[in-house]
Amino acid sequence: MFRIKDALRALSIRWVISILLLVQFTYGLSTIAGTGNIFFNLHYLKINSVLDFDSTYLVVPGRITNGLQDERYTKEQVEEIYNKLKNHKDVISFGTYYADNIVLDTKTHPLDSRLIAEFTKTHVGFNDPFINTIVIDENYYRLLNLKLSSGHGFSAQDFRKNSTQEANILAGSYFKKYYKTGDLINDQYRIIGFLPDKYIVNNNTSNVYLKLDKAMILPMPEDRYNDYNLMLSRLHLTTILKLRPGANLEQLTQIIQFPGDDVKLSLRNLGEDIRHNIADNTYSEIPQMVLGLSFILFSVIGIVVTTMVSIMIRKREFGIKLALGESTLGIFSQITIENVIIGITGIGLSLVHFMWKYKRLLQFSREMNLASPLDLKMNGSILIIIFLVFMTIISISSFFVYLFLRRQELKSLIGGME
Amino acid sequence: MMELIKLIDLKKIYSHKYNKTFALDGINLSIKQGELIAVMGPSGSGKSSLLHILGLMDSPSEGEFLLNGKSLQQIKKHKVHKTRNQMIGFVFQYFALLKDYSVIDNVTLPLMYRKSRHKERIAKAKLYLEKVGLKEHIYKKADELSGGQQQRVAIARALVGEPELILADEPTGNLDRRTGEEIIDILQQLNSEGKTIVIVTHDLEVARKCNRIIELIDGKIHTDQFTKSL
Repeated sequence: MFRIKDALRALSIRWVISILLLVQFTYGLSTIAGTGNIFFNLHYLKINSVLDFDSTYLVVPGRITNGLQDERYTKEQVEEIYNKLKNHKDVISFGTYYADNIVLDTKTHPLDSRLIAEFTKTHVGFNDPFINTIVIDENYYRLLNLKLSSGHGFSAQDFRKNSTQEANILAGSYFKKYYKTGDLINDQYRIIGFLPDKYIVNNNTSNVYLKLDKAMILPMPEDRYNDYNLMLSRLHLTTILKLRPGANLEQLTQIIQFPGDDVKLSLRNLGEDIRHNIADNTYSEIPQMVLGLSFILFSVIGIVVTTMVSIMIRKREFGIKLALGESTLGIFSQITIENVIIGITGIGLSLVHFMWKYKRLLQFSREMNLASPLDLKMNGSILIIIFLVFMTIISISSFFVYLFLRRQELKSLIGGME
Repeated sequence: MMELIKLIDLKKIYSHKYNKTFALDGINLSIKQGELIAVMGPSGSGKSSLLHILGLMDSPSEGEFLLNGKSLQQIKKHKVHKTRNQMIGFVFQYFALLKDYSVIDNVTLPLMYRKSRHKERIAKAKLYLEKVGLKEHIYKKADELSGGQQQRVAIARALVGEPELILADEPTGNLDRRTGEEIIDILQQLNSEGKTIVIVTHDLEVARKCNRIIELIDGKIHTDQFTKSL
């Protein structure tokens, strides 16, 4: 305890140096928090897809200027395209989905206030809580690599219901806090299992994806599946193909393209998309990373130099303490405690700075829960990264300070008294 | 009287590129418990080197140093600070107080490193501050006191750990004559209570109040006189 008291006293005496170190820690760790977030997200994108990277292809429309002209084509034509895909030698399987939002019924069902707060996404203009939902057809369900335990997945029957009937759903892991298997949401959606903490494509044209932890997956009701307009829309916007290696993409593109359609469709490989996304963000993040690494380097140098200077300035104090029976290790502990106090204060301030600087982005990330490089957050993983950086700085700088301190002779420190 | 310190052919040598300097050159010395010794000598005579070695702040290059019958070589390097803390109290010319600390915080420092309990530390510090006449100043900052008062605080700090030996380096060197005399009176009083005290001084008046005067010249003991019997 007396060492902490001593350290605080010493820090207040050398307050200019303390503030300089504090500023360095604050901005440095804040930068590390930002860069850490991005690299954490890139890593998350790399390993957490429920769709296989190499075999998954997304049907992507070109610019849609006049809307989808449903009157020009027929349901039979759409079904013919799907039949051709089904029989094509390069196609392993294919499926379709659509994104939906399920508004939580808070009027007739009292819900936990934390659950309501979590799903009320004010920045998108909704005052009622809603859950991001992906509605998938039976084929798409088979495409997904969900690894659910037996009895906790959809059956063929789940895809034979219509949209007004009770439906089985798979809920994100977040819902485990409030629901258990068999519970009903809104009196209509029965939870039959929980999803892994991975992400799913929720928009073929975007390079951000939906995290499943706070989302739900619903089987597509038969009436929606067979609705021509929805079918046409799904073909253009939300069709996913699983192809064999070396598939003839040109031929497949021709199959999915309606003759004379204004909207040009193409096939994009999911893995390629994500890898490009990762590579682009990695390159653009390199300057920040260099800044972060420089911070670590300069922090180590800063602490070592300021501590050495401080030791020289405080020769008298350390000399007296050593003469009175303090050990070199004790002096080293005190210096380390001083640096740790600054570092911990710096961590606190850097978190405040980070949350102030990225306030809107953090709110957006929290509400949208999308897998994207810019999905900034302040969670346990980021705190661990910051803490590890802090520990690295303290360990390396303490090592050099200890070497320096060991070389000091008591009689020379005592000399500083006269 | 029991022998507290014994130096046998003790040398402190500083080696440079082409020559060696003997700061202490074959010192043979025995200090018994309860002695009040003045160490005198011109600048460069080896007084400081001797004080550093006696205070376990430096180690001899050659010879043997026995403290309470135990050879210095028997004390492990990482335990020297403990021995220093338990056996030696220091009084310096410039008081060596931590000016940002209160009087009581300064005095309790040696006990802090001994990990004594808070209550015990405070009680002992108050006791010794009372002994040197500073009980009413315990919560003042060290630099709010006069030179004489600061030296008294330093003496209380040297005593608080109840060491066997007190080493005083020019304890009156930075004080006016009257205050200096008061300080020497306190040291004499402590000596009469049984403390062993070694004072390094240039002041013959101070030396005359000691019961033994050792004069060093060129790192050797030039004279070693007992002026009063113990």
